[in-house]
This record gives sequence, structure tokens and C-alpha cells, in this order.
Amino acid sequence: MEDVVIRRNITVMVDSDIMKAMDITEQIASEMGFLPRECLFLRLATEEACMNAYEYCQKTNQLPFEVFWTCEKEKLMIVVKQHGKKFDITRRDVVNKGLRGRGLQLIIHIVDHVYLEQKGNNVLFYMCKYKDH
Amino acid sequence: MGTQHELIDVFVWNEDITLNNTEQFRKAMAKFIQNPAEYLILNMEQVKYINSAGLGIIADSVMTARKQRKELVIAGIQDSLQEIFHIVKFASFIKLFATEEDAINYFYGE
Repeated sequence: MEDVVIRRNITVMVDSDIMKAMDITEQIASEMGFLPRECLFLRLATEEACMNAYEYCQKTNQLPFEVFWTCEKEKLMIVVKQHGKKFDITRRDVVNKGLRGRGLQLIIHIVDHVYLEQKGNNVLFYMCKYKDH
Repeated sequence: MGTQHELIDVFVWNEDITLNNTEQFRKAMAKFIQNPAEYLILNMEQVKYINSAGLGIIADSVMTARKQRKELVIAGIQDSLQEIFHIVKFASFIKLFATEEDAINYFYGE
């Protein structure tokens, strides 16, 4: 556990905070040595995870929510912590011709591993990305 | 910002699509598909990033155009955008082209 460092955290109250979270992901990923393409995609995963949390928390009057970044030598973990219960993160590779429902599909393809953890009244959504070069 | 090729109309969107400009993109696309041209090309040559809301707007615009007996295709798809479109399986119901010229040739049957 000694080499696990909590690098940053942010509280998201308004949508401009999500842009900050996207910037933080890109900055940390770049500092860790992820390729520019990977940094861009991690930025996208952050936007999607935050937008999902934002829309849910806004609708249920449970804003704000939090985002954490933890780094190990070869692994970046982005965690979105919000009020609420676990939700469905099953991978679905279906053709979607509608307006919504692609956020999780993108996240699951971009990162190497996603999982949920319930802690009291909060649900934590973990997105892990390993350096593969 | 459009270029006319008789029955074809081209709309160039040249910004990355994030939560900051999704609504602007939605309005621009709604206006574009109301264009009288039968063949519509969305040129995204300058776009490297698109969020799921932007993808939804494109999918919905394609389907709306189809209901109006029009065809909307996407051109100028490079690198990261190509990968994002692959993840969401856009090629299964939208014509995608590397360049605007390829899209124009498609409509002219070349």
C-alpha cells in the first residue's frame, strides 16, 4: 500500500467542475506517461462517469459528488463517489440508434476494469487503467 | 458554415464536442438536417473528441434525416474519432468516410 498515493480529489457541484475533473485526469495521466491518445480517452471516460453522476445527483437532489484519483506505478484509478445505490454496469455491445445510453459503453472500452462498491449511503464507481507500454 | 454541391449540403463542425458545447452542436445539427438538400455531409475533420451526448445527437440526426427521406453521412473521420465511432458501432447504421471528397463521391455514385 505504500506506493499508493492519493493524488487529487475534487468536489463536483456544477458542470464546470466536471471540466476541471477532465483536465485533472488528463494532467495526471500525462504525468504518469500514458500516451496522448490514452490521455484523451481517459478524459472522455471522466466526462462520461461525471455526467452520469451529475445527472443522477441533480435529479435526486443529492449534489455534490466527489472524484478521486489514485496512482500506482503502472495504474491510474479514477473514482466517482456519489450518494445512492449500485447501478448496472453490465457491458452491452448493442447497436444504439437513440439519443442516450453510450456513456458506460465508452467507459468500459476505454479503461481496463470497472467496478462498484457500496459504502453506507454512497456508491463508488472505480475506473482502472493500466499502462501497457 | 456549409458548402453547397447541388443536391448535397456540407456542414463543417470544427470543435471538440464536450459538455460545454453539446447544446450548441444539437441546435446546429437540428438546423442542418432541415436543409432542403437530400444528401447531407457532416464534416468532422477537425474534431478529435466527442462525448456520448454528441454521439447521441449524431445518431438521432441520422435517423431523423432518414425519416425525411434524406441521407446524412459523416466525413473527415480520423484517429481518435474513428475509434470512438467504432466503440459505439456507428458504422452499422451510418456511412462514415475518411474525407469529404469520399462522401461526395459516394453520393454521386462514383
